[in-house]
Order: sequence, then structure tokens, then C-alpha cells
Amino acid sequence: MADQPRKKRLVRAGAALGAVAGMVGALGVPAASAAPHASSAFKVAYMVPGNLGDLGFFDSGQKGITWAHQRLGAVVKTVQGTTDTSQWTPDLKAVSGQGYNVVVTGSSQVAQDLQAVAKQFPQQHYIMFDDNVPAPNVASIVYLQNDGAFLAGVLSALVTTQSKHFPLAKGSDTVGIVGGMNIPVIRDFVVGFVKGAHAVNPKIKVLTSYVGSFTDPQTGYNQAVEMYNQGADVIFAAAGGSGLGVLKASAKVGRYSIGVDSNQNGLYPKNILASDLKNVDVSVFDLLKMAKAGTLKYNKQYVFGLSNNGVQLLLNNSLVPKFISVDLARYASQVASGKIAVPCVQPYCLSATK
Amino acid sequence: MSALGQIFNGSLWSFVVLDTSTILLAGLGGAFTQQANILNVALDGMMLIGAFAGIAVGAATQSIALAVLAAMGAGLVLSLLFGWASLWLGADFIVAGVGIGLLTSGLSIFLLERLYHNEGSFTPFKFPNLPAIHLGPFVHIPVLGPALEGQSILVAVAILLVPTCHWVLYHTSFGTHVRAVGEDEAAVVAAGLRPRRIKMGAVLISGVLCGLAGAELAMGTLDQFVSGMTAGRGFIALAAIFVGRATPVGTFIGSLVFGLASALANQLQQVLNLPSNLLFMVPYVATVVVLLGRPVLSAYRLRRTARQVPEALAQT
Repeated sequence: MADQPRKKRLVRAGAALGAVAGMVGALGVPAASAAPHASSAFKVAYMVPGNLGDLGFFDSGQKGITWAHQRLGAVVKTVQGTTDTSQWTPDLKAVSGQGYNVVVTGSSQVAQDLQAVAKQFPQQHYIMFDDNVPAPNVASIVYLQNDGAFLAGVLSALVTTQSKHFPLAKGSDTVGIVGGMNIPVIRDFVVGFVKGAHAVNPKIKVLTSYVGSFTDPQTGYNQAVEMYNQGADVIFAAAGGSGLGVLKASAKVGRYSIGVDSNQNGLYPKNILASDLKNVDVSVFDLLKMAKAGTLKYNKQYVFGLSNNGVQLLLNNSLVPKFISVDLARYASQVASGKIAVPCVQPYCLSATK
Repeated sequence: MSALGQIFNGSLWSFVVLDTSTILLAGLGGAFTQQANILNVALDGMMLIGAFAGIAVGAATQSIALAVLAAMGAGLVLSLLFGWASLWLGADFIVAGVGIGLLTSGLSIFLLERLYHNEGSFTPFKFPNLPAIHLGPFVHIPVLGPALEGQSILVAVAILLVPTCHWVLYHTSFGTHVRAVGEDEAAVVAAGLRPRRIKMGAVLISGVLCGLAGAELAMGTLDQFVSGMTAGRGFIALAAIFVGRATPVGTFIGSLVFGLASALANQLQQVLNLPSNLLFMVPYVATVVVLLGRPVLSAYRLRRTARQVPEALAQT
């Protein structure tokens, strides 16, 4: 009995904390633009599981949507799901069965939401980028990260072998890659990177380490500093948030690094040579074009790599001379033509869709 | 250079110091609450919000002093919430602590997104530097010299806080009260003291020190905030407190074990190419060994004396 008031207070305290957390969640409301009108038009909705303005992934998707509007005359609408993951399923439902020919969304975080919603709206067509959602009404887009990492490897090797063009490089013939976790998707980056470096010169030493987390920039920093101590001229940060520590280390030590996933070139403009990006815009636009023409196949995975312009290395032109970018394009075309085979790690061994 | 020489080079020790200092700052804060018999699982969250506040205020004001103060202040505010919910409203410490953790991770992402339009991270274009330690001629002291040279001033603060916290806990009346309230709350009431206020004092100290830990993590070398960047360091600090039986010196040793283990894990990965997933276990295996080792050892001692007793009896 003496426990009674204590329990009540406990509930009150819990409610107080819950209320604060709820308020934080409730403030994120979806934003909308341009509603669909003419019923005969090709109509596309883009559900962003996050926010636009990330200077990368989702913005790139929006670019593809804008192209569809400009070049295909599509009527488009964008819904921002914000970072409140509990809103994604309702947001997806809100644009499903509303007369849109296609609903576009992407990132592996939203895959489960889409899986469920696509089942509830079997007549609605979806395009999903950056993960495979097997469903009869979903066309999926996946990217060959090993192709992008290959280019990063080529660039790193070109920098360390032609160090006279790069004032911060020592010409040590050593490069490195810091991965987030030792899991297949990151190992797929690593084998691509190593192949790229060795395609330039097989004698190049490639250092590898894994942070063990995608949100530990301090450990990323420490591992990168250690790599630079061992002579690495360039480090490729394939480690999400932990990679930001790697980029910081390049600025601190005064060497070079390569970013990933979003345009990070501006973070440390004297040190970041390039960012390895997925061309979401190109891939989304390509699929929308097929959807409009009626040739898009659903329940199919479309694979984008170097051969169909699905990945790119966005160069920091103030650091990388023109002839290096010409060299890079040459290696890219050798991959596209099949002259160089980029190794891969299962289950990511796919070939680009023709 | 031999592999061993490559592993135990000068930079290893500077990484040990870097990794130890954040865990130590949070651990010293948690030692106070642990002494007051509060299991403080809010350490990690208070660190995270300290890191965020430090970077946000530092970027806005370009003042490192204000940034550090903001980090400490943010930790303080959260510890106030934690103490209010658990001590005044009677919430379970663990539940309230977990709540703080959830709140901080959500709040930091929310603020990142609202203020900087990027829910993953914030890297200010320009950020003021923390003053660095310069040892002058003492830099030539083996191991310690290169380990400390160039580290941020907060590393020195962390080290100086070890004797300071020891003094507060064992040589002041506040410290005695904290330990007393942890040992036997009824006795404290009988002595005419207010246990709730004493516990709140310990909670607030943990908040300020966790804020400092967040400041060191975000501004010691990185000058950026990444969502979830504590990566469980607050919980490692909790383990360090257990290893050190909640004494400041013991917590220091516990933090050092973790700092050494994680720095070694990084080094071994690169020098010997050992599998990283195995090496990531090192700090945690170390904790289990230490935590298990002590009771096993004392049980063994007990059994040995127990066995000796009958022999002694038989002789008489």
C-alpha cells in the first residue's frame, strides 16, 4: 500500500518525459507542393523519407522528379516525411491510390514501410531507389557501390603516384579506406576501392580498417590519423557519420580524403578531393521515362553502375587537375565496356541493367 | 620496425589518452551518483546533448569558453530533469535514465534538422579551437610526453578532476553525505539531513561532468556534431565505474582499461590485419573479465579459508 503514491508519481514522471518526446515528434509536419490536377496527365508523387536539403541523396531524387516535370511533362508532388519514422507509413498511404501513376520513394530505411503499403494498394505502382522491395507493383533501383568505390580507388592511386600535382601528398604509394562496419555492403566498397587502386598500379599499398559503427566519428578520426601516420596520402571514408571524423583527420594532418553519399567536398575544401555519389536523379528519371512509355517492369530490380551513369565521383575541381579527371573517365569507360571487372561481395554481385 | 614497435608507437598513447579522457569525465560524474546509490544510465544522453550544445553555441558565437559552458549547462539542465523525474516524481532511475537517452537522441536529431537542415551531422565551417596542452621541455618524457602533447585542455581537466573528486568525496562534508546517503538513507534522515537534496547534488555534478565529456568528444579533435556520436561511451563509462567500484581513482583505472583496449583494437587492426569484429570485443571482454574476476577471486579465497578451518579445528 505504501507503494501506491510512488507508483502514481512514477506514472506522472513517465508521462512528463513522454510528453516532451511527443512534442518533439509532433513538430515535424510533412510539407507539400503542387497538387495534381488534369486527370489524363502523367502524375508522379515523391515521398521523401526524411527531408530535402541534404545536398545529396534526397535532393538528387528531387532533381530526377524535376526533370520528369520538365522533360516528360509530368505533374509532380513531393511529400517530405521528415525524420519521424512513424510518419512514413501514413505518408506513403496518403499518396497511394490518389490517382498518381507512380509513387517514388527511396532509402533502405523506408523499405519495410513500402513493403506493407504496396501490399495494401496493389493497383498503385511504385519506384523504390537504393533498396530492393520485391512486390508485383514495385520497381526497385539499386546501385553498384563497388563501381563508385573503384573510381575512388583510381583517384587515390593517381594522387599518390603523381604527387607532384598534389601539394599535400607525399608520394608514398600508400592509400587507405576506413569502413563503417565489417559487413557485406561495406566490404563491397573495400574490394572495389582496392581494385581501383591496383588498376592504376598493382604495387600500391592499400590500408583497411573498420570503425565498428556508423556514428562514431572519434574512432574514425583515430583510425585515419593512424593511417596517415603509416604514410597514406588519401583515405576514402566509407563510414557514414564515422567518416566525418576521417575527413576531419585529413584536414588536421594535412593530407587528402574522399567523401561518400552526399557532396562533402565543401567541408574541408583543401583536403577533400571528391565525393562518391549515387546518381539518384539519373536512375529515377530513367525509370519514370520507362513508366510513362509503359515499358517499366515491376517486381524487377534495375541495377545502376558505371555503365549506365548510375554512380559518379564528384570532383573538387580546385584540387583535382583536368588531366586527372580525363584519366578517371578513361578508367570508368573501361569498366563500362567490361575491360576491367570490378570485384564484388555477395549479395551485392549484380550487373548493371542494359 | 617490428610489429610490436609499430603497435606501441607514440601515437598509440595519444589515442589512449584521447579515448580515456571522455570516458573518464563521464565516469567521474557517474561515480558521484553511484556513490549516492543511483545507477545513472543517463550518462550517455547527457554527454550527447553536451556535445550538441557545445558545437551549436561555439559555431554561433565563435567563443570556445561559451561553447564549453553551454555543454556543461546542457548537461546540467538534463540532469535537473533526470533528478526531478526520479527524486521528486519518484520515477525509477533506470526508466528515467533510459528516457533521457531517448529524449536526447531524438532532440539532437530534431534540432540538427531544424537548425542546420541535416539530420545526420553538423560541421561548422569555422570553429574556435580548445586551448591545447604544451609541455615545453617535458615533451621528451617517454610515453607521457608524446601522449599528452597537443591534447586539448579538457584532457588536463579530466586528469586533475581525479584527485579533486577524490578530495570532494572523502574529505568534505558533502562527499561524506553523498556516501552516507548511498550506504544507508535512513541513517542520513536520522542525522537530520535531507537525502533528496544530497542525491540531487550528486546528479547535478554528473550532469556537468557529462556535459564536459560531450565537449571533449565533440571539440577535442572533431569540431563537429554527428547524431549518436557518443556511440555508447556513456555506457562504457558506467562499466568503468563498476570496474573501479565508484571511487574516482578506480574509475580512472577502469577508463584507462577501456581507452587502452579501444586504441589497441584500432592499432591491431591496421598493423596485424586481425579481424576487426574480433577486436571490437576487446573492451567488453575486458569488462566481463574484471567484473567476473573479482567475485570469483573472493569466492576462491573464501573457500580456501573455509577448507583450512576444519584442519585447524582437528588439530585442537
